[in-house]
Amino acid sequence: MNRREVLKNTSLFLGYSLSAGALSELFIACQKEAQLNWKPVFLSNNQANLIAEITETILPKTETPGAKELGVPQFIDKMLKDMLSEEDQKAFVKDLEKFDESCEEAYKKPFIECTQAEREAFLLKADKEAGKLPPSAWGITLVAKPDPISFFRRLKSLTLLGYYTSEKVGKEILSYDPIPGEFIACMPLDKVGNAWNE
Amino acid sequence: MPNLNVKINKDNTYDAIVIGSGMSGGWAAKELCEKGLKTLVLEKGRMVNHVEDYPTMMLDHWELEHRGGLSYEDQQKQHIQIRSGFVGESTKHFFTNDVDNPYQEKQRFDWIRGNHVGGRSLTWGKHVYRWSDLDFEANAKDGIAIDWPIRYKDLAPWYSYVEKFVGVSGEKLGLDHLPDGEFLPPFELNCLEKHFKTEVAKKFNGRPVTTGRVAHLTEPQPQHLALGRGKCQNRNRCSRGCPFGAYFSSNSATLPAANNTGNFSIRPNSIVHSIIYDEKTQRATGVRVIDSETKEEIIFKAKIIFSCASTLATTQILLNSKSSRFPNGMGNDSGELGHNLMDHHYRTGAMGSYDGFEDQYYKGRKPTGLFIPRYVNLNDASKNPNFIRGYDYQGAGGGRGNWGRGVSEEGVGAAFKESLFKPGGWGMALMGFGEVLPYHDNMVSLDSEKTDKWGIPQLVFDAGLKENEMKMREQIRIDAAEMLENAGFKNVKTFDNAGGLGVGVHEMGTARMGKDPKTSVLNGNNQIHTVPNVFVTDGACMTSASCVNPSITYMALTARAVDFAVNELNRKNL
Repeated sequence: MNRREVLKNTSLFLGYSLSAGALSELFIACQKEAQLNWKPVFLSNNQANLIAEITETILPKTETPGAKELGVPQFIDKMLKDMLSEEDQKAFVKDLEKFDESCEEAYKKPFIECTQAEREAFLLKADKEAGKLPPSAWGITLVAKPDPISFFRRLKSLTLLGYYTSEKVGKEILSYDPIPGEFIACMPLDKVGNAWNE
Repeated sequence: MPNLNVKINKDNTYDAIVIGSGMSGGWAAKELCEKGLKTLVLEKGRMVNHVEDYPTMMLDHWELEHRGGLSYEDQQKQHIQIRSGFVGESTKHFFTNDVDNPYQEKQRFDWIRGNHVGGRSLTWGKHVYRWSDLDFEANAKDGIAIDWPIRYKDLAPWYSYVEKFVGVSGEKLGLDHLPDGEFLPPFELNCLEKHFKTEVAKKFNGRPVTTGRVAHLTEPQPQHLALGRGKCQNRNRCSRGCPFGAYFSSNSATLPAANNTGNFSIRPNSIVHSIIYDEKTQRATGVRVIDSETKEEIIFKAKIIFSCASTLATTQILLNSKSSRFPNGMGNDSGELGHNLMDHHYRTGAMGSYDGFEDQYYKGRKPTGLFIPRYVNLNDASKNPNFIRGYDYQGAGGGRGNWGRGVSEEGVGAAFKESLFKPGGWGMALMGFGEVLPYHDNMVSLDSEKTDKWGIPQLVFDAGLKENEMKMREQIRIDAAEMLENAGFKNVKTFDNAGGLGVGVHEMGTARMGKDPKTSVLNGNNQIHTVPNVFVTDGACMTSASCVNPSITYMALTARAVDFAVNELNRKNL
């Protein structure tokens, strides 16, 4: 499936039942609707805009693309819709709103109005406080009863997943070698450059 | 390669029927067909032809809608399968739909299955280790359960026979308790693995560390090339199906070989309800099948029947094959059918990071890591006072971290983003695999009321790990941490997430082999003591569990049993 097909499929979800995100949106009065150049399938426009700014703060545009340029907010919106139970979806949206509220408490303004330095400081604090993912090997979680995944950890993991497994990063930034052929057990890192796309 | 022949004889009658097309069924089909028997393979699930039915084999991350994750809807459909950790967007079609295939759990049991042509041979771990007399004599020496009716010497030539066809890469070690096989060149250990090997040998009195022995073609031989199988390309996307046929599966190897003889037919979507017994001849005459799509009942007849449906599916069929002669299931005079259920316990060990080799890396994603053969309870000198039997280790992820480390590492912003383009530090996890004892009360039975949607009585699981296994797991963690620390690893942490019995996906027992019909279901040739034309050569036949992976032993037992069966058939003894 290529990117175009993914987007095509995504549009299939448009116009279907009111999402949990849209529902909670009904209760937020007097907030200006954010302008997006894409239509979220799960989040409200304001929520999607906030997510977009968070992902861009985690992975900002430099000489290499930022999260927004690679469609990470759209990816997260879709993943929230497809991968989570209704209960987890509601909790995520609630936590997203709490996140913005605590930003207001700290900086007297919502996250999207903060400066880059304020945003980074706020996210680093959230990163420090949020529980870590349990260790895993071969896809197996190595803790019998892991803690539930915290809001920020989920958001950060979706951000990184959406970015580092994108075609642009996988093919043009990481070392892309879909059919290695031989296995070389030890070789100088500088002969490879960036990490393998794996 | 031509597609597998699905044309069925008009009279539904064959020389031989094989139930199941996985690891054992593929071998039964190949051997029976090559010996000239017209053979029908009955497969519960859908058709999977080699390569053309591997829809995800070439996809990159970004070509998967959820980048490899499993949607909530799929998580519900495969709520048992996901306990394994192996089911993702790129492999979900090779794991069972749990809604359609229910069972009951008095104790949690993780029944990880693949209902399709090829079964779990498509998704197996591919580790291949011969069993030895340390395993075959274990029950007799410990005075538990019953003795195996065979010894290593009975199986050794058959191991060689199947290994040559399978293609096994590995390093010879000359150990009695982990016999060497017919090996293709081994996968090389990477920098850290080599360092670990040297340090463990130095600090632990020569304890061997080797590369995993795996069913991958590192140097294809004529018998592999003849089937269109090629060299491993180090993609490590094996469970999606290999476009190169580089790892062994029924689909890439045994079924095409059977197909080439002209004696082979396979019927997918064929759920075996039961094996039919004839009181007069005291033989089985055929099997009753339910077509999974039409629910039509069909009877197929044959002179000999090989049940290779997988350990628990075979036992389910035998328990459901009731007659006035066998009111408690076919061949169940002993009452042992369904009992002595085993698995390997794993998902415990230790992990650590390593400072060093920062300027070193590798190329390619080899499909195996390192392996530490069992070293405990081999003799008096290595005796552990707390438990019997033993464990080995498979090394997971003995390499450098990728961007995924950034999820739990603190950091945001430009420098953070750029740093994740570079490989992370080196690390390694040692995963223990331990033997589970054959306990009579670890068992399955048929539910007296609940059935699946095809009317087959559901299995009820009542089995779990006990004291011997729990004490062994403690030692697994201690030893793993000790080895990592002695090899200079930092941040060494132990882990333990046993899951349910079954999560090792090495379920064994429930129709065990033995010398005495009073205490076993099968004899030393995998033949039901009391129904001589029915053979069971999947994991159900196992009398003890060893601590090494069982698949190559099923293959050797199957080839050996077919040889015996066809000789007996020719002597008119069946």
